[in-house]
Amino acid sequence: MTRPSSPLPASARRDLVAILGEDAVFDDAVHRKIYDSDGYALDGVTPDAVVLPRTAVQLQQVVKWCVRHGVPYAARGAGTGLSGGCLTLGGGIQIGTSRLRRIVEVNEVDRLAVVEPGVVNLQLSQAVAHLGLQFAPDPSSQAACTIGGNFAENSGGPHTLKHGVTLPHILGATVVQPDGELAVWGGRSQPGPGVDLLGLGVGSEGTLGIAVELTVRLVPTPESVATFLAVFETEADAAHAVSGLIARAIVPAAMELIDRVMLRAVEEAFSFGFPLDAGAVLIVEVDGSARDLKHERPVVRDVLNEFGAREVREASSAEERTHLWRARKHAFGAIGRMSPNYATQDGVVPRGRVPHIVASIAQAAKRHDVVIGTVIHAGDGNIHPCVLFDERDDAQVDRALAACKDILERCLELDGSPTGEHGIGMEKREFMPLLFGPADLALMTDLRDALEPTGLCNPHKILPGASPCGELRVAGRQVAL
Amino acid sequence: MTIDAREGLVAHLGLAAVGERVVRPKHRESSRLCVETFVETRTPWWPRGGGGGDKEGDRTATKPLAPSDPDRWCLDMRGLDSILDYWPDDLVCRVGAGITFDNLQTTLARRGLRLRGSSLRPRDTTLGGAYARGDAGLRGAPGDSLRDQVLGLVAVAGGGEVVKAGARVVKNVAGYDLARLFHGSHGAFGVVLDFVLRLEAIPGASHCVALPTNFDAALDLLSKWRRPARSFDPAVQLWLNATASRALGGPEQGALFLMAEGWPESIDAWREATARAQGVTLANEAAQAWNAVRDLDANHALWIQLPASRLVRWWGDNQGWISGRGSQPNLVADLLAGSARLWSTPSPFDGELVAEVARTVREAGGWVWSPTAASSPSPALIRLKRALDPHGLLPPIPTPVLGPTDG
Repeated sequence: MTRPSSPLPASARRDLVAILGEDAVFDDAVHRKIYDSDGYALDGVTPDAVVLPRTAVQLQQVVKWCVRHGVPYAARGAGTGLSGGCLTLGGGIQIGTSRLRRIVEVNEVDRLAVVEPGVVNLQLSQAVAHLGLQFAPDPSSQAACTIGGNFAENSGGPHTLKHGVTLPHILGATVVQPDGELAVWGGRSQPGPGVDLLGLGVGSEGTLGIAVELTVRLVPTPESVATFLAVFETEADAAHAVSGLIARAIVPAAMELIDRVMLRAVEEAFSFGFPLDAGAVLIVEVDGSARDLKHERPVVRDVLNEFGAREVREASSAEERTHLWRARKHAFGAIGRMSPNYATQDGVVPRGRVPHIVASIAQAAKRHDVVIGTVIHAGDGNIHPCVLFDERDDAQVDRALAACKDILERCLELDGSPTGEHGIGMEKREFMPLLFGPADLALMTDLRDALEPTGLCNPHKILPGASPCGELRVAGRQVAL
Repeated sequence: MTIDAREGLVAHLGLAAVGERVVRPKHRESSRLCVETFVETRTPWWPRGGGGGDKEGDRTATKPLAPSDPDRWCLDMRGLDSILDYWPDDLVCRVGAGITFDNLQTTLARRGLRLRGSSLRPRDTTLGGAYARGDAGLRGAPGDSLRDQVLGLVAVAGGGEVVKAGARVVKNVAGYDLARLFHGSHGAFGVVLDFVLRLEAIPGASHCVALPTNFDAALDLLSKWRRPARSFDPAVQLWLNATASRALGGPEQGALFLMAEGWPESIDAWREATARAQGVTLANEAAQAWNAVRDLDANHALWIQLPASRLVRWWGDNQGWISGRGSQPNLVADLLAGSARLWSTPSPFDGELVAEVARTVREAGGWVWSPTAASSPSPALIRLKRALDPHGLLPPIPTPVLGPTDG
């Protein structure tokens, strides 16, 4: 059959409705428009149709239908990704997992949960909170993003500094493979002998299959938490303090740097009381037993002061801590008030080079005459510069794009990576040859071809090369990181 | 391998580095050259570290000794045993894959650092060997295995090409994570030459205890601790059955072995609380107890993957008949990781018993990995093997006893 970039042929629609029901197949212009982008602000691709299966069996049947008819498809969680990973580049069907949202099992003794991929990250932690447990990966979009999406992108978050990104928290996955058959990767135990397909699958951006059930690890919620807000005159001082803390054998649960631009945006939105004349603030959170914190509190204070903090405050209550984190996690919503549009990046540098990349971001802003607000998962070296622009002004768009490119290239020069937690998707394929050699890319191609022989499962992603044109556009988006 | 090719290796590596079907490179480039020679001469080969796979009866490691496979060469990686780079501000280092855990940890300890991953028999076990075997070590918490400390690596794939995975950053999702190809795959796709590793500061204090208890009681105790969950959890939580416990000089009825790490005040409090709750602390010398467990000689062990609550039921249901077959079963269960090593002394389990163990574990919802028995790989894995080992020179893909499965 042909694959029009406009609505589905009637026969295809009939087939999909037969599998899913009338209320789960959307090919009208409005729905297709809604699903034409994720958190990636600069490009969009309108899918031929969007389907929302309610069961794993339905999802598998849709994939089998796509394989039979040669129709490309891509899975979508909540659409909070930043690299266009869920878009149907070249046409095809978007398979949303938002209706697969059951928490199937919670086992407090074995500290695991079995969930469907559409379960929202935060809802799982809320559901197990009464057991003193949580799902550790906590992307700033955790109130919206799904665990299936976390699996596909190997998501991080502020608190993954101590607990790790998504990979170590996934024990097993039931996956609809690209040919439509089910496979089980991993199980209910920490991976051991055997080909680590689970490890390959986590972070493969939905190009090797679609998870329909995930077994995830739960970790204890900390007995005690101390959250500090350190105010610095300059971003550089704040960045140096990060290395200072790591060198003192403290592994904070989170360590977030917020620059002057972002501070102003957050303060205007949340009135937290951030000092608007500060160069940057560092949020440092340590957790553990009460005795652990008795030891760590003074060390954290000393190091922050030693590196030039002009003020160090500790959250005095759970409410104050919650308010502080709300302000941080909504930073990108806040900055949306400052500009019609913005483009957010996701680079990484070795954590000792955070001061270097902080300086480079400032230089890029100056060189390209753009305003950039930045938050950094500082303990991980994971930067999120947010370049402001107005899509109605082509020159601004060009300058914003150039600034983004400069920053990511600088990450590579500093032995880093163009993405720490949002993937290559369709946005960053051009960076792959800068990061990997021909042999590496050839092996990745071999790997994908071996595990994805159909060429239909989220094609044209990750690897560089010729790809069909999307409907390139510019649109304003607000995304939490 | 042809005589010319062998002489070529001798010319490049020196006579001492080329033995009878064994070659011992010392650097990344000489390792690449060896693989290139194997590929050009279509010589079957297998990578070998410190012999941990031999001791555990790794079926792939015994290949060169098998009469049916007399031409397979061994690429002995123990010569790549250096720390190649160290970035103190990042707490990251790059090491040769042939370095042993103990040598690495000893060197790092001089700077107050360590690698969080662990392994059985760390004196002999190389990082490359442990990684290839999917050895998760003795620390079962999320993020504690060697797999989770590997930020990047350089490897030679089966076709002879040198490939790079990851970077020296602690967070990175660029492209397919080729590092995972070499984890747990027993050298079926190639050999790792060096690793980029995440390091951490050595905790201020640690303490080990071995509490005399049977499996039911051990899990009951842990369950009580876990309801509600507590943030202070021992990093190592192993249960040893009577045979394994006695072999280490531990309690007769079996032992719950715990090791906690942290700030000294926290560890002191934990030690006192544990002693108070249990009345007895058999091994309170951390180093002594830890060394005993880590040096456990689990020869020809089956690797069982079952979470703790299922494992205790499975063991309760099956230990009787396993013992009744004339063997002395040893079980070491990692209650955090949800896995166990099961082996027999003095002689290994026979194939019939392995198959029966696998069947019962499978019924309980888990998997068994055996040194001697395996199922057929899935079509996807076969395609992967063909792509990465196009000449079929490397060992077969490891699969569980009962299949088919994809992992």
